[in-house]
Amino acid sequence: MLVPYNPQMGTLEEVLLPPSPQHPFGTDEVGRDLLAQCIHGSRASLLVGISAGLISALIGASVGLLAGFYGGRGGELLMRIADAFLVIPSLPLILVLLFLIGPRMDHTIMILGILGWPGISRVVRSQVLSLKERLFVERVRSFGASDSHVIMHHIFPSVMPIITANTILVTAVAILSESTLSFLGLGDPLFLSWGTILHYSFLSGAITIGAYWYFFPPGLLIMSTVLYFTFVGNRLNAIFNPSGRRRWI
Amino acid sequence: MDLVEINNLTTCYPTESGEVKAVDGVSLGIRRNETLGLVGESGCGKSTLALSILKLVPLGTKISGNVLYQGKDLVQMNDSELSRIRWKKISLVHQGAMSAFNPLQRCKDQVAEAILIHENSSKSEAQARATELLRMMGIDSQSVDKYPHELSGGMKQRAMIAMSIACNPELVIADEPTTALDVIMQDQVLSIMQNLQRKLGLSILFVSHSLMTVGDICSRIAVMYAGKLVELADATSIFKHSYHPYTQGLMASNPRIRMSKDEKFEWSSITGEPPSLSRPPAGCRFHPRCPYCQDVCKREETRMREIENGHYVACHIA
Repeated sequence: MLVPYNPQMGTLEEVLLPPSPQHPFGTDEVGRDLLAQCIHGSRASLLVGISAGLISALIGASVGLLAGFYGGRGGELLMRIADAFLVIPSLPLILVLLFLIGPRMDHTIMILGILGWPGISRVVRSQVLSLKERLFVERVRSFGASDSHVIMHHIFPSVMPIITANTILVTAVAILSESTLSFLGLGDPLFLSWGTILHYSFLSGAITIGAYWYFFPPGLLIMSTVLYFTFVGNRLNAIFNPSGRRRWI
Repeated sequence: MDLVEINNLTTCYPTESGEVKAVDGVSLGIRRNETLGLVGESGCGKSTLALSILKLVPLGTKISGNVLYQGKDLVQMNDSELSRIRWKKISLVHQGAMSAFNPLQRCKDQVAEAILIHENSSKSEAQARATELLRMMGIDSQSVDKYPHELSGGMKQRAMIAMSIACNPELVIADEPTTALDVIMQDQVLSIMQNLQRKLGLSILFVSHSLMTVGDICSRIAVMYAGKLVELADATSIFKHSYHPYTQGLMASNPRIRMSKDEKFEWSSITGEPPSLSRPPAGCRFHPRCPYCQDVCKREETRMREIENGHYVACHIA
């Protein structure tokens, strides 16, 4: 594709080479090309992040819509569950869960997705609470419209921008979490991610011997990707959020 | 037979300081092809009465009495039974039509939505009907594709009226449709409603705080005070001679334009304030403000009685 090397194959003649025209990002301790690895790693990192974000959005939006629209005891219960998820320290929980069910990519996606919804559901609920009191909702009810019609045609489209912005923010967090997990050695062994590259650079002692090209590029990629998602998400939030708060970072 | 017959309707809002009887034992018949005006000051329960007919009241509100439509009692109906009546048979022009539109949808789509909910027509058919209705209301074909914020207040009010007749209802409840408009727009909206009433043979329940507006277009007028009906009569009869002191006060608080030169006009207002509906005064509710108050008014509640042919008054001394 972009580079003429297989990220999995190396030659022992080219171990830990610094950046050169042949290997722009250098090579690792078994002679694999690092540019190829970084490009391949982006797949797993983005896939995990975006899928987890979408799962969070699905759960968070449904919970927020139901809790906000119907309220009552059920809504209160859903919000207490969301609070419980918010106060659990997530990293230790993910570590334990992944250890129990095995470090596979689909497991990581599932766990990160399930842990990301409470924030979205809270924001969506508060919006729905104010939306459902608006006169146009009352008017549609006086059409004889059902609850599901009101939710799907009026409430959901109105909260959609906020769901989008918050999904992007959750995606950023998920990418960072995935990198953390992979760095700690809980990445899927079958899929290379930026965190995994960092993991191996740490194991091979790249920092000690000063092989900066081994850990800088994946680190920078993680940072810039997370920053990118965070900036876009926050900016969208600032534009869509009717509270008028201007948060830049 | 009346199109809609309201019998002894009582609507209670639960509040922290006890129950508020916004509508207290109102009986009223709405005839076919008539425009019935419902007048009263702010907080007298006229909007609540209008909304109670379709049970469009907040959760937890208690409604008792009957609202009979085609022999069936709307008060006893559940939501799915009511949804077949709402808008299809009885529609509503909301108070403050300015904010009754979803800001994210085109004007004609919102009118079409009402049609789509009740009829098995395709989306394009419904939109064509919606465009036609809006054109009837004097909204040009460019504006029907616009979003609500791009329309003026008067246009939105007219679009709201178009929406209310989208499903060919028999009764339109208009809850202060002219309140936020300037006099020119008011006049336009009133003549639109009058034309519609004649052309489509509608019945209209026209809720307003202005006796004069109602007098313009209504054939009968009902006056409400503190949750109760105090006077009900033909418009001409009520303007010729009103019996209830409250109605008389309302009349006297309006300036009269066509007067003979030597007639002197005393512009007066009703003293005092409307009573709290959570603790209404005993006896006749108007007695603390009534210039003709007697002992019986403080003790005994009033009942509607027919004082002339078709002219009903709830007053001890009239």
